Amino acid sequence: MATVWSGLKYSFHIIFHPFDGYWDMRHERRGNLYAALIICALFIESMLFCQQHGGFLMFDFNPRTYNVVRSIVSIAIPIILWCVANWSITALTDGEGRFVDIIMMTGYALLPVTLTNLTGALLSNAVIQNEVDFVYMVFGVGYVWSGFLLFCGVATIHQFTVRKTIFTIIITILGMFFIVFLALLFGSIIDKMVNFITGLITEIGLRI
Amino acid sequence: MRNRKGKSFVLIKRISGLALCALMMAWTANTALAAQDPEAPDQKSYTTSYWGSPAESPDPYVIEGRITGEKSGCGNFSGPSDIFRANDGNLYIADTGNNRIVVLNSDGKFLKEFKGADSAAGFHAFNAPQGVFVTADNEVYVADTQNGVVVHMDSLGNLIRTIEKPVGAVVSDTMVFAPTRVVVDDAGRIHVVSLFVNQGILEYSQDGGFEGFLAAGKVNPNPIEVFWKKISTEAQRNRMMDFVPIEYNNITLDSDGFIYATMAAMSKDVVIAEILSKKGTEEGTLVRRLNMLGNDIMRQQGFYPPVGDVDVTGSDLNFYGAYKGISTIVDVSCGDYGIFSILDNNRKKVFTYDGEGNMLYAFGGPNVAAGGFIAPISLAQDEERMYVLDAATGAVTVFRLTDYGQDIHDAIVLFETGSYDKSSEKWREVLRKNTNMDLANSGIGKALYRSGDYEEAMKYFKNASDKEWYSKAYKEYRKARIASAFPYAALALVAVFLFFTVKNLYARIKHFLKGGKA
Repeated sequence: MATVWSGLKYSFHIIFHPFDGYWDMRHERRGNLYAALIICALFIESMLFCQQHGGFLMFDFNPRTYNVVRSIVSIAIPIILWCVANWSITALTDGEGRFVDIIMMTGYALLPVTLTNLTGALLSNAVIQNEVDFVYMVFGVGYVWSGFLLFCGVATIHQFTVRKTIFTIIITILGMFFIVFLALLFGSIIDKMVNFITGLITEIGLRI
Repeated sequence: MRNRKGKSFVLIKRISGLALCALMMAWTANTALAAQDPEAPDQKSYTTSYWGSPAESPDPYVIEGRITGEKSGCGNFSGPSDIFRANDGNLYIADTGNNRIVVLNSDGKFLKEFKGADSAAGFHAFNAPQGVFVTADNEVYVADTQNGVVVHMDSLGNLIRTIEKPVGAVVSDTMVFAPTRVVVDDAGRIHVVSLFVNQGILEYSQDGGFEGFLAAGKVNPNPIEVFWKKISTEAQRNRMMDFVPIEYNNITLDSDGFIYATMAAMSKDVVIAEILSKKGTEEGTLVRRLNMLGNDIMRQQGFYPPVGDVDVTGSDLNFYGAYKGISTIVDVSCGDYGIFSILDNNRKKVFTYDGEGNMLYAFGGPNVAAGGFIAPISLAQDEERMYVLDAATGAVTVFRLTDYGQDIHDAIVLFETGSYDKSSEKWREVLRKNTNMDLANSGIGKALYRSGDYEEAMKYFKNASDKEWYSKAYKEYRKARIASAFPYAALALVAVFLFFTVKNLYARIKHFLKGGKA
């Protein structure tokens, strides 16, 4: 428990000192996987908070069609895909980071956007139309900051140069799409197979 | 619970629908129409919600009757194209297939017909006339399509003049002039829409001289198409489609003398993009309000631009049946205070908007057995009736305004004339009849805003999804809240300041007493 708590406290070191922080995370065993996962969960919660409690002027919330499970899945899946794709790619491009490192790096990188999401969602309830842009700026800062952290994280934990980092990130994103494509393909084939077999069984059952 | 209630409701609707259908079938038997499946799309009225889905509403208009040529006593119409309601209440119908203009009184009784115009030079017989317009002093303008002229005659059918194909530098000799619609404004200027003319509306001066084209449609070629055209050879280029502006298909004058012009969609994608972005742009406009310079001054303050149906995939079978895709607007009709209705030939519905572009209601529909249309082509209205001309059945469906429709109309008129409180009362009446009516919430909110009850107004604006007005009300509400909270906040600040000062002072004194330096 104490390590999780110190891992959470360490996240504030990382977001202000990304290179140093990620280096220590990778090499000095600082940071904690559970802490990173908690931040991921908080990030998802912050997105849900925005969707559900964000100001009426900025967020369209239709309770008739809103599905919280779908929301969670649609936020969590890209994070998981990112981790898997990044691990797959960096394993091929001689990245030094382990899968655990990638998850921790991603989790810690999501902290700024989590904080700005919460701030922005609260602020959006107290603004009028002219001030909406300020709130968008708050969100923008969070996303840019987190993006920068991801970049630093990939560069540091895999010991990449700048150019290789950019290249890896692009390939990782392509890899995410590729995984989705394969998953859909696999799903539809399995679906066809299951249909075929159940059809066969029903047919045999009817003849006997 | 809600679901069960819904189901039994549907069942009751179906049973009553069946009974109604049986009745209608017996009634329409003489027109030899194929009876439709009672499960088929019905004639539900609705408004479009903020979310773009249809929200069922009471009927703003109900069918009062059907006028056919047979019943009027002049023989059935054959492919009629245009209906016009003159100021004296008479209905003029361009009976294209029978080469005549038929005049009916407001009850649908036959008064007279024009097969052509008399003059000293001989009889000018109409040839498939598609448009008719009647001025305030009952002079008749006929767009005599196949003859390629606009005929101007007096109320007795004596030819006054003909307006021919324009000549001049801007008109090519090969241009085909086949006028389909004509309107004449109070100043006597004549505006003509012609087939095969895509430069805009032809404008003639009072004395019949050609003045020029009004409001040519803009061409908005797709960048990819432009690219292909750039790199293709001469021969290939000739085979490609030209980028041409869209033709207007109908025009109408409103009471202020502005021209409402409709056009079929140039591209489905443009209209869908416009619906999704919720913004009205010139490219996707299907109905324009033109000033004398030809600029579009249509207000588009509604949730969606006035393009007819917004739910283009039409997934809700309850409302649409088999009908999908964007609306094909074929006619527009203007009421007072900027209220206008457009006729959709795809969904067979009439969509009505207020002067700000807010959708008021959609009514009518494709279910022929229940009084729907097959090929609605023209729309006319008076204070309490709406006439829809169907080219396929050759019948005019007469709708009568209901209490609900009247309440909406009154609320708008009262607001426009400055009686905000009375308007708010009317809106409350509308809301009582239809809780889905966003505009009613908005209207009540505006009255509350004017009376200074910002907190209550915010609730109504939120219900109406009216962000602009919600923001205005919230601004005032926030101002009041800050003003009332300011003394406490200031007090708290002072308290905190005092606390630290005292604490600091106490530490210093303690330090001093211990024998240190102050």
